[in-house]
Amino acid sequence: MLKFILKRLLIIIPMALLVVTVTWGLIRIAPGNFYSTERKLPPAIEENIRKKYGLDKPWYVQYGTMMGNIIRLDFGDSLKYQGQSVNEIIRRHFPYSATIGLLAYILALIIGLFAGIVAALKQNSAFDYGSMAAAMLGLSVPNFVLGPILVLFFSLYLYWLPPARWGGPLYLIMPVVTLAAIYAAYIARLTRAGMLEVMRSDYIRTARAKGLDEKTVLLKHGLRGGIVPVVSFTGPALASLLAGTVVVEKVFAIPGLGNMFIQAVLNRDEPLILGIVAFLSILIMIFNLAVDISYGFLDPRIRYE
Amino acid sequence: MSENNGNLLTVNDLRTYFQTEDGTVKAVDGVSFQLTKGETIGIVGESGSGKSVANLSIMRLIPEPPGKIVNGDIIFDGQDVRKLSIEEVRKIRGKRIAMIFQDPMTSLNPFLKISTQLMEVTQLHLGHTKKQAYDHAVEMLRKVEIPDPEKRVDNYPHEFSGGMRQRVMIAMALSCQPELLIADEPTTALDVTIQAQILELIKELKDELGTSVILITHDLGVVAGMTDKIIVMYAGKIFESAPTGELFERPANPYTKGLLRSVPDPAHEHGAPLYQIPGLPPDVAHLPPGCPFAERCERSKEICEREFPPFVQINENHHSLCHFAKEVYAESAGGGE
Repeated sequence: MLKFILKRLLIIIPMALLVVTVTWGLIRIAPGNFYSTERKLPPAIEENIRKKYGLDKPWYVQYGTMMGNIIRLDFGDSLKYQGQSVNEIIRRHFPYSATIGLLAYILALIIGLFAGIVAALKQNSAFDYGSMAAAMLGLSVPNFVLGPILVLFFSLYLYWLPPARWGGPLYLIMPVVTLAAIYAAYIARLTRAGMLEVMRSDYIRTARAKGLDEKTVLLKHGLRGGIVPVVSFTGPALASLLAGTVVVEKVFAIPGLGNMFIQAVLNRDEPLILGIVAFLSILIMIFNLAVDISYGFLDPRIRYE
Repeated sequence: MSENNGNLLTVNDLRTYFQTEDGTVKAVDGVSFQLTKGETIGIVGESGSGKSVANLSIMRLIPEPPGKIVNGDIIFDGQDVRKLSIEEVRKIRGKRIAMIFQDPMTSLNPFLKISTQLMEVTQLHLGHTKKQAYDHAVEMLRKVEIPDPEKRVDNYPHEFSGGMRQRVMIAMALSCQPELLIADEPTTALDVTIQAQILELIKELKDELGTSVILITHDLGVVAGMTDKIIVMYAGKIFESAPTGELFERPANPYTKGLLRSVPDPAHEHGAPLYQIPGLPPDVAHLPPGCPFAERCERSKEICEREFPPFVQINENHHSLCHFAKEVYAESAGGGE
């Protein structure tokens, strides 16, 4: 088990470097520069800028320098936000994304699991049809539609909630709900399908034949098998939620990492792009590892070498 | 509770139907039998003949919908199981009537330790503490001859072989010393050498505990050495019921004769093709008006296609569902195979 975890942690390093390399290549292939504006710069100034940032050297030298720095976890300074290091920017903006991401994750889990389990137990009931219709709606309404609708209704019509930006707990409600909706819908559907399949299996019949009541049959015998598909979904989902979702941060003007990432791309801010990409890829890989480990606790048949 | 003429279980005109898109499937259609204390009966039939559904009905384990017990009495020790509330049925399940299922690979919960699965039965029904239940679980594993039970009790089902898992199932079923054990094809998923061991084990434990047993199987060889009487089912109906010896010696139903001929006989049929009853079991959603076996029957006459056969009483304990039951019975008396 320990060996397995260690191995998986070690693999993260080359994987992250590979991701950074590909991203770097893509930035370089794309036309344009961080210093290009509508007006063309005089050649002398352009040459100075290129020299200052080492862009006059051959590409392999540039790549080597960049990799050398990244291995030491030094992503350098942002090109756009002068004097601010990439690490500092990530440290400053990540907590916003993480807060709404984590809250949305918890909300989605509570709603999704509850709705899914009850829908499966009362299959073909009004609750089942109702919650699955709601889930379908949640899946099909994109969050850039849901967000503004919520703002229209709760802020501009009812005056209950602040429409945007970062402040007290009230400011969190709409972004979290907007973010959670699609995940809750997905989890509800996965849970329902998983539970329905498990509750039909032979060992559930055995449990009933023992005289156990439905609650014990469900919680002790059914749940573990039923939520395996949910676990494989929620691991990567948590990573992408924490990392910030561009659209929701944009809609509610939240200064999170997702918003920052878009700015960095638009600005061709190479160090910042690479820093955020490396950070996110490591985050996702760690959560995938966490999911794989939790399988082992869920299902005793799974053993790690 | 009243002593119902020494009968532990009386099933009377049981009908369990399933609603499907294809129409009403009469999986069990008018089944009646009695079981006295300590008695063992075998229920034999091809796949889909309704033998499992009949027994799941006794424990009220038919998933509803689509299934439903539409008629019949299930009198267990003087109580009509059909009239009990589900809470009262749960007090019978696992404690007074226990069940062993066909496939031990899927019938044990793969996510829980054997100890957990054994302990929950006695904690529920016998009020055992954790410690008592654990010791009892070890004791039950020892009883079903699982080697090293102190260690094995903490294993998961996937760490056992098929035969060992069925032993665990038996240990679980007998934990509360039930009065009735329903074994639904307990050896079908196991290989032949293990089959014999498992049957021997059930026999020993039943004698030791005085449990009545209903043994469901499609294999006449399995019931031959174990049962007091046999019920042959086909298309949801009882085709023949008789004491075991008589059924084997003098069957009074062409279907039973067909089944008996299908049992491979290592002494005689060297190189000869194995006998099988021609055709397939009928679609129980669309049964013809006559005898459901008519189109597969060797001696089918015009009346068989037209009229449903009578349930003929041959002697006190021997019944057969056939227009020609008496003739078949008479023929069997001559040189049977």
